[in-house]
Amino acid sequence: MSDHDTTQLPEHLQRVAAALRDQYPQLAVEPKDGNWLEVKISADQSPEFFRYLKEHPGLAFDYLSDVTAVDYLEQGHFQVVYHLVRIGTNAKGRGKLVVKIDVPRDNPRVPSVVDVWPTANFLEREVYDLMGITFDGHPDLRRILMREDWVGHPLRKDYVDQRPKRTRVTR
Amino acid sequence: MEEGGSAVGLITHEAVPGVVTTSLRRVLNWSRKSSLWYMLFGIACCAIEMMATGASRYDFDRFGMIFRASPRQSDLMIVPGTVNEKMADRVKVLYDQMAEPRWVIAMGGCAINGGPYHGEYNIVDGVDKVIPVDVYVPGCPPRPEALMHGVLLLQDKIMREGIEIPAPAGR
Repeated sequence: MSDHDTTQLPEHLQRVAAALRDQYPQLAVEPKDGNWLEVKISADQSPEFFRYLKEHPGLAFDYLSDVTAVDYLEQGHFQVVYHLVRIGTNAKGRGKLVVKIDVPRDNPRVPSVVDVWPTANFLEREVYDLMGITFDGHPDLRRILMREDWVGHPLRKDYVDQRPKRTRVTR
Repeated sequence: MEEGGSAVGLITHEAVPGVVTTSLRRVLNWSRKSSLWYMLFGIACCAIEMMATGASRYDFDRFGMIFRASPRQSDLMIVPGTVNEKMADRVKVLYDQMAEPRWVIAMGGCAINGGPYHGEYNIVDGVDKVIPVDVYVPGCPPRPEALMHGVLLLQDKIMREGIEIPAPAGR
């Protein structure tokens, strides 16, 4: 456990932090303004870590609301970000959890969490399409937003537009 | 009666009273401009404004304009919205499926040159890079009055097709 102070947290988030500490004593749980927690894990802890988040009765993060990624070009890595919410818990005790995984830019791979939350299918395809991060174990990893023959991943900071110039069409 | 020439004549001779003379071209153009069936087709938020123009308050029907849910039976394609790279192919297919004579109105900033998305990675900077455009209607989105003004301009253009008529002032 890090030196982040979790005692000021609302009770339901303290329970989340305690349940995480039980299984992962080395994990840094960082409380954030706005009633949510943030943890950083390594790629080889996924997807077991996520399965624990979903299936442990004290955690029960049953809804993956978003998967995104950040390009830290200068630091040389991508960061895959998972946003987790508890739908099954009553509204007061919901709380949010953000999980971040750093992956190197030269070999961006993380395990897929489709087996844990099926909704990750489209979310991971979007991250693959726009950031070029490969999700190992994904059942259908292909582009979802850009056209099929697109070259490159446009949300990367070093993306260069390679489209041929279009000219005006007249009748 | 149009300016700059005797477009339509009226014979008031006793033997043949009440006969109107004109050219076949004018009758053809007049019938075409008075029954501009536009394709039921919307890409983005401009489509909402196009629907408002077609509904009873602004009432496209009084121009003889009825939406048609098939490109084969449409005369006019209003392109209401952002054309992205993936959509551009589909717009081209729809345009190719329309029978001649056919006209295109580029509605809103996005369809004219990309508008607020000009130069973005997935945006075609104007639908005139894909299909020929007859009338550009600026706005974000254009109000129904603006779209109707665009339609009136197109009607003037259709009336002049194949005939030398000076463009009316102010339009």
